Amino acid sequence: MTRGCRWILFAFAALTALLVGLFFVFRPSGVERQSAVPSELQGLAVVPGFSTFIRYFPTDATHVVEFENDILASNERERLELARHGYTGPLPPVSYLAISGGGDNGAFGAGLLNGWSAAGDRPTFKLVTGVSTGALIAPFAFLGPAYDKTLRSIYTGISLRDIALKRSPLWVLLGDAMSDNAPLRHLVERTVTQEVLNAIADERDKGRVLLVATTNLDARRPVIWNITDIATARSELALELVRKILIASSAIPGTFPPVMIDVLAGDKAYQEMHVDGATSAQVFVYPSAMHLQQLAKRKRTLYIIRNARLDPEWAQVERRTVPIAFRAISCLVQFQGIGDLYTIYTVTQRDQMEYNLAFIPPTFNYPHTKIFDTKYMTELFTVGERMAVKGTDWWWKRPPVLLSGVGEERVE
Amino acid sequence: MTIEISKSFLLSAAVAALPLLAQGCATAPPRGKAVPAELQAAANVIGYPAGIRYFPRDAAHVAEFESDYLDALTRERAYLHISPGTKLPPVAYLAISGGGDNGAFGAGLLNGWTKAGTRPTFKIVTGVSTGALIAPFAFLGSDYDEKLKALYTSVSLHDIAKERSLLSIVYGDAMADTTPLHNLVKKYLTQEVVDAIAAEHEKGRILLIATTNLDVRRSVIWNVTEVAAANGPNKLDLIQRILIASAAIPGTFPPVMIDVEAEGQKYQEMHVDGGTASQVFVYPAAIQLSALAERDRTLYVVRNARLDPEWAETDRRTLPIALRAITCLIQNQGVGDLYRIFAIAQRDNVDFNLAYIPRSFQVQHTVDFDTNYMKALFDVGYQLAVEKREWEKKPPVLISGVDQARGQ
Repeated sequence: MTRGCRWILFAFAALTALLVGLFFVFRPSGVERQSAVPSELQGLAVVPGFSTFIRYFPTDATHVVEFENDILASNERERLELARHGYTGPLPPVSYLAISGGGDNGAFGAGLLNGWSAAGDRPTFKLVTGVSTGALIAPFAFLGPAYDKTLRSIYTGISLRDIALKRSPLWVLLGDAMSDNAPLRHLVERTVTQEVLNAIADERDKGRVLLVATTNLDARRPVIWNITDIATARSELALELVRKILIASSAIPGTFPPVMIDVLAGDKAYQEMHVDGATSAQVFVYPSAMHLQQLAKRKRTLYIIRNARLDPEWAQVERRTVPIAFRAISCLVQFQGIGDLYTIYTVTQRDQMEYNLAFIPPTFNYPHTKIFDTKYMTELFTVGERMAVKGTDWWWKRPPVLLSGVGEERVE
Repeated sequence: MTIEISKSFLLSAAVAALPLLAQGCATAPPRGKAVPAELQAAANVIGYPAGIRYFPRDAAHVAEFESDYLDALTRERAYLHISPGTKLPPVAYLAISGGGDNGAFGAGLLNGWTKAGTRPTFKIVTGVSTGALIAPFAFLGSDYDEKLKALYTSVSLHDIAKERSLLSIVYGDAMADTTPLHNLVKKYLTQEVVDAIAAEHEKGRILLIATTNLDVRRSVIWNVTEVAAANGPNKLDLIQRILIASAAIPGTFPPVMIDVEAEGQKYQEMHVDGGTASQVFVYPAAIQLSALAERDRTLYVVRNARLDPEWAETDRRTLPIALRAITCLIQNQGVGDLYRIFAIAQRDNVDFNLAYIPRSFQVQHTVDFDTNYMKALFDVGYQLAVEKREWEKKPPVLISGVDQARGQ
């Protein structure tokens, strides 16, 4: 290290000390939050203006029971809808769609859905779930091929500045995130309109269900939001809440600001901190505690779109604290995603549901140098689109066990 | 593992100001060149054969794992005088998870299991992170219970890590210095222990430890019994380094650099905490154990963590939010690992058993490696085993609300 360097380092240390000192003297008020819901009241918290069970905590017994009731109620609405069309037999086979997180890799899922429509055999999904980028795709996937164009324009027509703005280092330190996602909020406001909300409400009346997951960081647990149930209000309040949920579901903690949701518990006002649903699970279908086949017998086929590669991505990691920590987080996320695929696989086996999985193939090699790079997303969109156009027989029937070495090997 | 908030503010200040002077000025600790992507599977630790470690999702490595597993069966047959073709006796496997100071739970459970008199001699023992530090002693059996007890009830934070200055956090490779942990491992994991492990290798037993190769972002399973039995250089040092790497929480503890060669060229791999990939593992999912050899297998998974959510009001600031999110990610990754193992156990007819820190354990966890906390947790694990509490037969689906609804 040269002498000049050392001086800069000392200046840097002094500056840091000053910043930290200033912080403790003048706590900025810009990011104050109201009290979190106390631990023992978690299960009782309600979003004002809505019923308690527009959302579920998937590992809480009471909530699971409520989720089961809501699924049964949706089946009743489905029966009525079928009866209107003259069908009164047992519930017909259904398809479910689960769309994972993955940031700009959501272009894969958006392309796949477009290609699937083109192939002509895309089902109308009884249930659609979304996490993070998957939450942004889910409402349009739910509404069907009429919204394919919206998906295409979101995932091939935008770049980083349509998602986030950089914040200054001081604001990073004192604020609640490294960047500002106001552009993403505008994107959601432009695409998720009152008309979209009303269309979702119409589908609810036919017995269909749209779910989006966020993570409640205070309680450190996932929250599944029943978007179809929220949409039935068809109100401005409902639209605002749905938009908030979609933005929360994709709010990568530390990178994007958390979404604070006002709630009431035991007649007192509190605030919950919601972030990226992928902090809990990259992809989900329904709570593991729920035995779907016992609840209502019918043939079910599940399609999972994992907006990620599953093969290792190589890089020579710089031997420094921060690069090591960031690399480790990306590793953790990748493996957490694999665990999620197994969690879902176990549940589908138990509940006799057909399992289908799509993920970004290892053959996709377009360099991912910047996030939300338009060219990268367009290439990936095309990959997804081409896969789906080819038909559905390539879907994986279980989580892959081999991901490097012999590429074509699929151990059964 | 949690990091105190004051320390995290220092780091956030550092991160925020980092771009101001990152270029050209500071010198990161040197590292050798990473193994190029295409040579990954060919890289060997200098002086050792390929079969001392496996990449669990690589076809060639899985084949190597299978053949090493079959060789171990042959040694077991010879040791037990069982002729080929005769069905092998039932076996028990033990998988010990990561969890930092929560490893005291597993250490206590093993001690209590001995006391209960029902503890099997495990055919295979696997360990990740804190579980990697427990695994060699769990593998060697009840004679080493005292060592485990001492390791998890008499240490405190200063026996594990030392704080580093702000400058060496920013320009170094971690927030803390793990010289104390190195010394602790050297004190407990001696040449005598390595010789004992090598002796078990002859009986067909297997000890596996996982680290994460951060350059390729994948897990590496080290066959410690093969290392102990091999004729390689600095064997004791290599095993100690594998254990330390397995526990090296990235960003908090320095990574362990391992010298390898591939096609005659020397390279260096960066290894960190095995928990970065999986909190707990048994064997690669690509191996169908039931197809390799018929026998009755029972798996015991010790998850050194709570599975219920831990509540805390999150400070609305970048770094506290990010740190809280990481703990959340790790907790859920660990649940996914249990499902992965459960799915594979079902496929391969392995009897699945799970123990984890019960919700009823309510001692405050304010400081990492707090001796009193660890002692209390050791006792919880010990009591569970002594009272012969039932193991869970599947990953839990309900972790809050009504307890009785569980595992319906």
